[in-house]
Amino acid sequence: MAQKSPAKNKKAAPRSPLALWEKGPGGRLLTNDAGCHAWVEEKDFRRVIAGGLGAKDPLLKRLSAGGFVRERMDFDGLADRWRTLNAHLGQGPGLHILVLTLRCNHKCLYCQSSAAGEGAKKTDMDLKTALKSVDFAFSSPNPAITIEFQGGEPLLNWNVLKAAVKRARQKAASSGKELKLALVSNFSLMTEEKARFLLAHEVSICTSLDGPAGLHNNNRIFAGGNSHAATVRWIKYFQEKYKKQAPEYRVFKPGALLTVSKHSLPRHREIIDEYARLGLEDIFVRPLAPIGYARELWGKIGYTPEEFSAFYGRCLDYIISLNRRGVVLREKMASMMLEKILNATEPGYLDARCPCGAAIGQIAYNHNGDLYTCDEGRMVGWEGDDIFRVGNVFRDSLRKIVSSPAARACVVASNLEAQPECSRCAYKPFCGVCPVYNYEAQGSLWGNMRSNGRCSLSKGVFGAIFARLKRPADRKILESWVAKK
Amino acid sequence: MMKQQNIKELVFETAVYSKEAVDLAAYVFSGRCGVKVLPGRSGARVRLTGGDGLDGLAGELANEALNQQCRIDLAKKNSKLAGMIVTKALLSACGGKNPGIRGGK
Amino acid sequence: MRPETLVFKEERRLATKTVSVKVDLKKYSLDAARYAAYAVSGEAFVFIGTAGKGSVAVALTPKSGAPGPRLKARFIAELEDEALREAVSDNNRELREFLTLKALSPEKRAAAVPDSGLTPEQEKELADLISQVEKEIKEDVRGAAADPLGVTSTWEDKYGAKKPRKK
Repeated sequence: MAQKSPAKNKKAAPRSPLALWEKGPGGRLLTNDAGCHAWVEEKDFRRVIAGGLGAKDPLLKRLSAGGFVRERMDFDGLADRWRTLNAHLGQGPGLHILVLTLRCNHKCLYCQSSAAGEGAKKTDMDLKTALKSVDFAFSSPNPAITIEFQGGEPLLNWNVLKAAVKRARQKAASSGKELKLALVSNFSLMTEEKARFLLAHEVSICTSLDGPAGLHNNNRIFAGGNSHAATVRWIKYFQEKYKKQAPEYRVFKPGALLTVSKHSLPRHREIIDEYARLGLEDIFVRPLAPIGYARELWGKIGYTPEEFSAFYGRCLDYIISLNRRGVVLREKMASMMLEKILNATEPGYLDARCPCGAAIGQIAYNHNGDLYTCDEGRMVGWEGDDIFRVGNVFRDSLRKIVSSPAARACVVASNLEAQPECSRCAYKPFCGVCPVYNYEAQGSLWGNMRSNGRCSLSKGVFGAIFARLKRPADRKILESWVAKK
Repeated sequence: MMKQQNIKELVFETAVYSKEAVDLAAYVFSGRCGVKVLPGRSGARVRLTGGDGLDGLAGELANEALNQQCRIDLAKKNSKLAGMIVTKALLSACGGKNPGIRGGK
Repeated sequence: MRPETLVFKEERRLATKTVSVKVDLKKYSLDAARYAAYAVSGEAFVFIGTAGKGSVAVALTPKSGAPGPRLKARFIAELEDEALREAVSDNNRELREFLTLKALSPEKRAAAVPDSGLTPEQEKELADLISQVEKEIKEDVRGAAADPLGVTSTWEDKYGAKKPRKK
């Protein structure tokens, strides 16, 4: 970033820099609204914050580059960084989650989607609702639309899924919008015929993989057989297809998500080794949230934020060590945060942005056409509290949805500039709060961050990432995860 | 401290806690125990009624009142900045005039 | 039946785990005192009350584990930190608003020179190289081999300068 020369008016007192800080071992991490960061030792901190860096100060060049010297701020450069870091502010809802059914043939211990049994067909989205939902998604002002098919198990409503996929492709062609289609499935009902259809229509595939068979099957109970075996079988299938590609359409790499339960905590190496063994290049170490079924079973499957943070740190270290040995594997949460920290780019992760994506970034379409701020908000609705319902796909326009009281309340409550803890936090440029979590765990959309488990957990994750960024050898590997190609 | 069965009262001095903060805290806790806000000489009186654990709940309610007060304090200073962000976010989502910000996925 | 009244003054006497810290409002703002108290509210129940003219007293009751003196020390550290944050924030409020507004409403700037993707040194090197090659091309073109019909040569080059007649 071009630096401006110091102010000519020598009478002006030094001004404190625009900075937030977090105390760490041996010093402080500084950040600013533009997402720049720098470490200073404790002995230098007071001088830096007082704006007392002279022309020959060894810290001047480094801190000026990050916008931490008041007299040398590149306003254009900082504003540009702020803009790209917060690019989501200029876009409408991009992610549209179609919950095709609440039926599921698994009974995962931590299920947050409030899945119903296979026989509960009244929770299937009908064709009319699905097509209307697709059309509704395309009414978003966002030039890029992602439609994600979820459930329950969406393959249980296969015909409607197929119709929705075809409709979406037609709409994309006629509207000129960029379209991504994604399926989140446990793979137990996947067949060759279904796979061919999904591949031909460029639907990217994602599943859950909780580790080696024993751990995975313990978490994800499948009465019809071995959940892990089905998952692995189809991961390999789609990987083969990816390697071969096809002239008529693009094939995407299959993805897998890890949900961390209490049972996962002592087994980080086995879990990561399983991902590496299968050639998966990304592992998303996702924490549980006390929403849906998970809340009822929290005593059996939950953990403290400190326990998760420690687990996350162990995972990150192990993944970095595998990288050193030539294994291609990235931790997804870290990758997304590194996009923000190193590249000042918005990665499209709706759970960590300001304001959160509730209705303005994503919409969840329930099987009956009701629309919710997000999938978690839909789960709260399933439990009997419709506070996060923003409208209905047949009765309401997008404008009405986005300006509904629930949407506006979530936007205001998740604005980090209005949160006492967040507004001061060094991780603010990269973080976000979840009004649904706050409501479920603490009884209000605002929550109370000082005793908020999600906040503690997020701080633990950021602490782990920044600690490794401080080590040159680890930093090199982390930078490679988000290097611009 | 004379402890009457299942009743606890807190007095939030007006010089420190605004009525708005106390009312909001009371509302947040209204689902967890009986909560009533009454006028008092030096400040709002909050009476809690309920079963076991009332001591802990009273402490948490006091913390919530402080949380709300800090949020009110912050709003006095940050409202312009916070407002810019919320306005932009809602306007864009509605398809309002976009001065050309691109980017993201 | 008289309800139990938990007023701040009573609590210090009655709750033995509670520690109290008096904050001078001439030295620290009330906002700073409130936020510092909030900062420790993860580990303690916090209650603030007036303590004479120009002071407040912050009562900290550990939720579990943390001993009172450690909590008190933490609160004092948070108070110092918050005073600094408050000063930095006040100092920078307008600047932050300016930057945010600037970011949200980009100005139309003069068209930038297209970025070649090279460093200044590399650009200079390339310019020198281009210049050298152009020179070589010119020299090649002037040579007879490049101009067998001599069309690029002047009459004088071909036949010599015209000599003046002798008188």
